[in-house]
Amino acid sequence: MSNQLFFADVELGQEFSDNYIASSEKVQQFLDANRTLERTEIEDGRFTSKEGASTLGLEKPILPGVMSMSIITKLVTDIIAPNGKLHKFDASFRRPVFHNDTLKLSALVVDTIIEDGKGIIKLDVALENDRGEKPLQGTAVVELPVK
Amino acid sequence: MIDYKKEVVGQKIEFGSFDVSKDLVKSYCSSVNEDNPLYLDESVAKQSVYGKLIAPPLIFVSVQFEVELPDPEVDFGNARFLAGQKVESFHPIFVGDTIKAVGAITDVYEKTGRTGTMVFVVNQTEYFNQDNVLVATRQASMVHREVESE
Repeated sequence: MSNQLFFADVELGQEFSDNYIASSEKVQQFLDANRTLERTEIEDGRFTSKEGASTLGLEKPILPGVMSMSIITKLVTDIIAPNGKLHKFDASFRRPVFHNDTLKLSALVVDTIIEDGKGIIKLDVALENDRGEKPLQGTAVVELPVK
Repeated sequence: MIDYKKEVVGQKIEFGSFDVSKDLVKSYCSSVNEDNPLYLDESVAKQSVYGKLIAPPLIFVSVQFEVELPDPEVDFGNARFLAGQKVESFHPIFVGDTIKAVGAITDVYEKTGRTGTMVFVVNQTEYFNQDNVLVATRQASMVHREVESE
């Protein structure tokens, strides 16, 4: 398990990052494991085939939105593990995430505040693809232990 | 003005419940390269502040409930995508919990931007554990838009 990050260890402007390759194999694994997606989305093939994606004007198959959300949330929960807490997560899509994109996951510290004795950190989070685009952007509010 | 079934907005629906099984957590974790031992290793979790295995905070996005939200039948566009979501966590979700969900479509609105007109359907879901404790809320926006096939 990673060493615990404490509130006092975090500075404004500090950036955390990780990488994730959105392979077709991982997407299939997510689809097999998850049954939350609408039948229409599964059936139109947008997540699995070039043909399906092209019916929606997409050049390649895409990742399910909830998968991209889960990937960026993993970075946040890695930062705060084991004893930190995720309070809020809010993200929106600017463009699709395609199969086999190499993604940089980032979380930038934009605010630190002690609230009722709790160490609250606000992060700007993003997924960036290898073309320099940020298809998913948002914020997370987490709590870190105070020493 | 976009046409849709206005009566479905605000209609609260009980989706049913799901068990947070080890298998569910394991497959979710595997697909997103999640290896946090708090979710996967019982002996580590036992030593943690939680005292037992917990689930990733977004585990509920991986579950299909028996009951679905009513379709507002938005008369616009030929494709629908997830535009965004807001999640708020209030209480840990433990492996072994039974989570029930209650939700509603809360808004339908139209927006015109650089890429043309889009219609957003917003829904809000509340998740409760077996003790009726609110563990999380999720607001998701689906965007309906017109796309051209390639």
